[in-house]
Amino acid sequence: MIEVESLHARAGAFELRDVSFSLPPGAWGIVLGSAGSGKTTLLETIAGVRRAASGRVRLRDSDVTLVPPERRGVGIVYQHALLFPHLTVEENVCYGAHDPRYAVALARRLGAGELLARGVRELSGGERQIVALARALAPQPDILLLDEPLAAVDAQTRAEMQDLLLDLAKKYDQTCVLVTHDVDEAVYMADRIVVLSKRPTTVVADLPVSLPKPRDQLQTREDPAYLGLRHKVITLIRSMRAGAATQES
Amino acid sequence: MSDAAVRGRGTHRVAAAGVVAGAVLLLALLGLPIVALLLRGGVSGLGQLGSDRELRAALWLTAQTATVATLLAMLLGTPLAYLLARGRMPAGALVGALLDLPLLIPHPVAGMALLLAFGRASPAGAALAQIGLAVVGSRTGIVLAMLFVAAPLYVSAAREAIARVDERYESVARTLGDSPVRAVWRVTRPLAGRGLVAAAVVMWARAVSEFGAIVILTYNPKVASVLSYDRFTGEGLDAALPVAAVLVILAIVPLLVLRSLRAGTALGEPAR
Repeated sequence: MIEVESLHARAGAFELRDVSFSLPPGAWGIVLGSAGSGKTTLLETIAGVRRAASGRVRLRDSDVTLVPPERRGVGIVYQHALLFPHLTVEENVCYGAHDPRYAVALARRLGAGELLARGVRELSGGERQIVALARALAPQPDILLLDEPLAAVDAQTRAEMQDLLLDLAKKYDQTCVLVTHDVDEAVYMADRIVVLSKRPTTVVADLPVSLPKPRDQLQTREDPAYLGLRHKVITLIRSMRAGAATQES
Repeated sequence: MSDAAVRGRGTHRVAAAGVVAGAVLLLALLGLPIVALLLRGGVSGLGQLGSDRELRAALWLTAQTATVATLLAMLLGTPLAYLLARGRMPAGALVGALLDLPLLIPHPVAGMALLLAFGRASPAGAALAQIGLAVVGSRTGIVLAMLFVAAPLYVSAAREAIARVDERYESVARTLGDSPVRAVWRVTRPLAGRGLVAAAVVMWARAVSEFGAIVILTYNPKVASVLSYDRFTGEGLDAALPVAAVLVILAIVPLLVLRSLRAGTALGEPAR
């Protein structure tokens, strides 16, 4: 379970102001917002690598606002993967793993088996993201924070990875927060969609998603409820942009 | 071609010739004294290494004390460089200015300041003398002088090397279970390693070449730069040249090490 309560945090020009939302155990929370809306800052504050100025972060019913990241049991995947460049793919994947055999098996399951002996500089953008995902999942965290992890992969792989992520999260009862720009991805994967405004970042909408599970790339995307929600989210984002443009002019 | 285009091309040629002439002049100013010194004293200096016991002792003392000073700077300066690089040093701007100061003051003045702070008459100097680390006329004084004038160079270069490593690598390492210190050790240290070694080489080279601060604190035992000065004042230019030439040859070694380090891949750059 993830609960963010009246969270204030600052990272350079990004500022979270009074951000609140909660996710029950095993749920997928999708964070939508335009570039520069502080989505990464939000994930970093939940992970504990960035300190909250005020407010609270509760994980698994415990207040972890002052708990350091290494004791939060949270995995994070950054948009640019941030694989350790001085280590091989296998060393990256096993970096935080309690059981290296599990980490390697997981990497194989994610399709990174043939990459294990390589240096990270030899990987494509999509391969890096898959390895970063394996590295974050290897310590078996029950909370996973994903900052646009599928932005660099092709459409087919992206769809496969979405299903794999949903499967893994269900299998290990993980609660996940996914940051994305892709409304289709958001609606497809979400149990809850949190829409953020631009600076300062506040929660504009917190929408529950009750599409049936397991999700299917064809059936779910043709579901009238999916299409209706997609329409609602796109309309909301358009109205936010129009409002911002009016304010600027 | 129009007249304007011809004039433009002519102006460009004159400017290019001016740039080349300026560069050649500067390189000649920098290179000629070194070449002259090596031509006059290089061969005899290397020859004297076999027979001149005082020269050998001075070189050995210089290398030893510069190495100790460099190791001390690495030990004490790397954590400071880290805090400065990550913007976590309280009053970081003030500390940065303090670190720049030894680079800006004349080195004999630095020697006098050290003498005041750590000489026999000072409380700190008296305390050090009591534990066998008298600063005046000793190896301790040489190390202290080297540390004072060269450690800021190490801290500055180490800070740049650490700053080049994306801090988010440490964030990732921490979410994977590392404590702050362990994350720095496992991720930042290897990624900044080449830059830290380069910083240490620069500091070592600067320490080897130090004269002004050392000569105030410790004339004897003589490091190579003091020996060179001593022979120049006592016996004239010809006697000093071999020692000076050996010092120049010694300076080429860290230069080559630095170039090889810089030619390597910059591991600290974020993955793309």
